[in-house]
Amino acid sequence: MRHVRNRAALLAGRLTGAVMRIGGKNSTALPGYIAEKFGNSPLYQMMRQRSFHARIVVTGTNGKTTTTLLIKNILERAGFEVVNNSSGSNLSRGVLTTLLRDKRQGQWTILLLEVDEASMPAVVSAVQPDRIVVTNIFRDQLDRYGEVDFTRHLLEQAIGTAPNTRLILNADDPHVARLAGDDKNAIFFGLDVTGIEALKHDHASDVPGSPETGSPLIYQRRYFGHVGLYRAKDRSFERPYPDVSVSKIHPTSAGQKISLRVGERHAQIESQMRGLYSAYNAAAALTVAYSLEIDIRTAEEAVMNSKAAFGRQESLDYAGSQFSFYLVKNPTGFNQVIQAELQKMVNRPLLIIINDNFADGRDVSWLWDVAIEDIHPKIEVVVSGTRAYDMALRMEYAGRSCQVIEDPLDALGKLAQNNSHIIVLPTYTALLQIRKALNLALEHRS
Amino acid sequence: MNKHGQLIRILFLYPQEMNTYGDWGNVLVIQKRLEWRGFRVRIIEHHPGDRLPSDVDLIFFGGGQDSGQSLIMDDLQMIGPQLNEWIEAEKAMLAICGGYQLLGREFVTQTDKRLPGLGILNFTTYAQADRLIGNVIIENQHFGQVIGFENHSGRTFLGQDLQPLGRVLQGAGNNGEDGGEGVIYKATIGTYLHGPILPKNPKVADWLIAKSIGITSKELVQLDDKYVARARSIAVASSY
Repeated sequence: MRHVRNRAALLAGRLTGAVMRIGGKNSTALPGYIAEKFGNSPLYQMMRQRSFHARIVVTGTNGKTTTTLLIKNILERAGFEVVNNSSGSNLSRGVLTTLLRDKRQGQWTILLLEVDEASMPAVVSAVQPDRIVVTNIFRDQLDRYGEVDFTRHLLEQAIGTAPNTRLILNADDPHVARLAGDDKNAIFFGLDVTGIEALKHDHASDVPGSPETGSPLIYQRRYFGHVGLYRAKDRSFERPYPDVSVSKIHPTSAGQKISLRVGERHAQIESQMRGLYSAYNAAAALTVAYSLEIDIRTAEEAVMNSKAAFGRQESLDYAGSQFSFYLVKNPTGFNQVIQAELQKMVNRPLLIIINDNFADGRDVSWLWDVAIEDIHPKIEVVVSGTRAYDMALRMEYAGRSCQVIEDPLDALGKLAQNNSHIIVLPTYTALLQIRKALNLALEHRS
Repeated sequence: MNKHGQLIRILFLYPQEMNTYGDWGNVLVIQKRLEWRGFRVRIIEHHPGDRLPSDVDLIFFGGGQDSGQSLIMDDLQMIGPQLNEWIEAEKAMLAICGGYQLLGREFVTQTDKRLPGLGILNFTTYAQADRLIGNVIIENQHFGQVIGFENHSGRTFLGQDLQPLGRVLQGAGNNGEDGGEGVIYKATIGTYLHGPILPKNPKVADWLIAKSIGITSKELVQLDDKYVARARSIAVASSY
C-alpha cells in the first residue's frame, strides 16, 4: 500500500502556486520533502507525545464542517471523548492551537480534525491520521487555490505522506474517487437515488477524464456538478461500488428522511437538514462510524439529533421574524441551496449578501457560475454586501429583477418589517456581521 | 444598420473543458446584449470531435485547467487553421487566460519543454512557479479603464508587431514586467482578465458585438446598464 500511495503522489503532476511554496520545487521528491520539512514541525512534535484511539481528518470543498459535526456527535454518543478543532481553525496552526488547549488523550479519546485543503500536506504528514474523509472537490474562488486539479494534487500529496491511513471517499465525485488509486482498503460512500433533477444552469462542474487513459466520462445519472454515477467511455475508470449508500431521500416538514445501506445493514435517519448535500454529509459520517465498528443504531440516533452547524441551514428568530441562514462560499454550495430550496416558489424573500473581504475571497467571478437562472422567477430578491452591485449585474443578465440595499443590516431591517420569514444567503464575513448584530454569534459557534 | 431579427452565431469553444471561474458569463453577456437590441442569437457549442460550422460571427475561447487543456489539444490542432482564417478575416473573438495563451506560438514549461500553441499570433508564454493573482485595472484608448481579476502563472511576451489590449494601471498583466496586458489584433481580444471581463466592461462587450455585426460601436443602440457604474467604482476602490 505504501508503495502504491507514494507512486500516486509522485505522479501527481505539474505543481504550481501554493504547492510549490509548501513543497519546494522538486515535485518528484515531494512526499519526502514534506516529511522532512514537517518532520520537525511543532505539530509533528506535539503529535509524538499524544496517543489516541483514532485520528480522523475531514477535508473537501464543501460539507467539511457539517460532516465533522455529525462524526463528533456519533463518536460522543458512542462514548468517546473527542478532541476537535472548530471550522475557524482548520489550518495547521489552528490544529496545533487546538491540541495545545485540549490535552485529552488515550484509548477512549479520538482526534477529529476538520482540515482546509491547503493545509492537508502539513497536517496529514504531522498527524498521520488513520482515517481521511474527503467529501468532494469543487471549484472554489479564483483567489484561493482555484483549480480543481490543483486541490486534488494537494490531497494526493497529503495522502502520499500517510501510507497507513484508511481513505473514506465520496464515490460519486470522480475527483475524489480517483484518490484511492490502487488502494483496495479505501471505503466509499455514495447515493443510489433515482428521480433527482439536476439544475439546468449548473456551470460549476469540472468533469475530468479517466485518470488512466484520459477517456471522457459518461454519466448515467448526474445529481449536481460533476457528482453522480459515471464511467469512462473506454471503461478504464468507473464510479466505485459504495460500501455505504443512500437509497432513498424523502422530504419531511422538519427536514428529510434518508434510507441507507451500511455494509450489509440498513439504516434510516430523520435528519433535521435538507438537501442532497446533507444526505452526503450523513453518509460520510455513517461511513466513519462503520469503519470504527460503532453500533449503527447509535450512529443513527446521533445524526438524527444533530442540529445545523454555524450558518448552515440555521434558523433564528429575531424581531418577530424568522431568518434562515445558508452560508454560501462557492458556486456548488450556492447551487445546492438553489436545488434544495429555491427552485420552487416560496413565499418568502431572499436576501443575498456578497462581501469580498479576505475571508470571503477577494474575487467574485464565482457568482457567474451560480445557477441564478434556476431560482424561481417569482421569488423576491434583495442583494446586499460590499459586492452587492456585482450580484445585481449577475441578476440582470439572468433576466431577474432585484432590489439593491448595500448595507446588510439595513436590508435585514427592511425585509423584517413586511415578512415573517426571510431566507438569507450570506458569504462568510456577512454571516459573522449579521450574527454579531443579532447578538447570537458566541452562543452558536462550535 | 441594426437589422432587427438578424441572427448572430456565437461559437463557444470547449464549454466543458475550457470554462473556469464564470468565464462562460462572457457568452451570456454578449447573448443578452444582442437580444436586448433585437438580434437573434445562436450559441454553437464546439466539443472535441465536433465538426466546425461553416461560418460564425463571434468566437469565445475560455480558460481551462491543465487537465481540461490536455483533453482539447488534439481537436484544437485540427481546427487551428480555420480559427486562423477567421481571425485574419476579422471575425470577432474573445480569448481568456488559457484560451489566450493557446493562440500564441508556444508555451515554455519550467523545465524548458516547448509546447506548441496554434501560432496564430506572434507571442510566447513562459511558465513560472508563482502565480500572479489579484485585481487588475488597465487603460485602453477606446475602452478607457478595463477592470478584472487575474490568476495565472504563465508570463506572456508579445512580439514587436502586436499591441497589448491595454497598459497596466494596477496588477501584473501579461508578465508583470513590460506593463502590457492582453493583446488586441484585428477583431480579436486576448486577455488574462477574469471577472468575467465583460459584465463590468460593457464597452469591450459592445466593441466585440459591433465587430460581429460589422458596424461600429457608436451605431449600436445604447443600453441602460444601471448597475455598471457603481459595480465598477466599487471594484476599482477595492483594487488598491
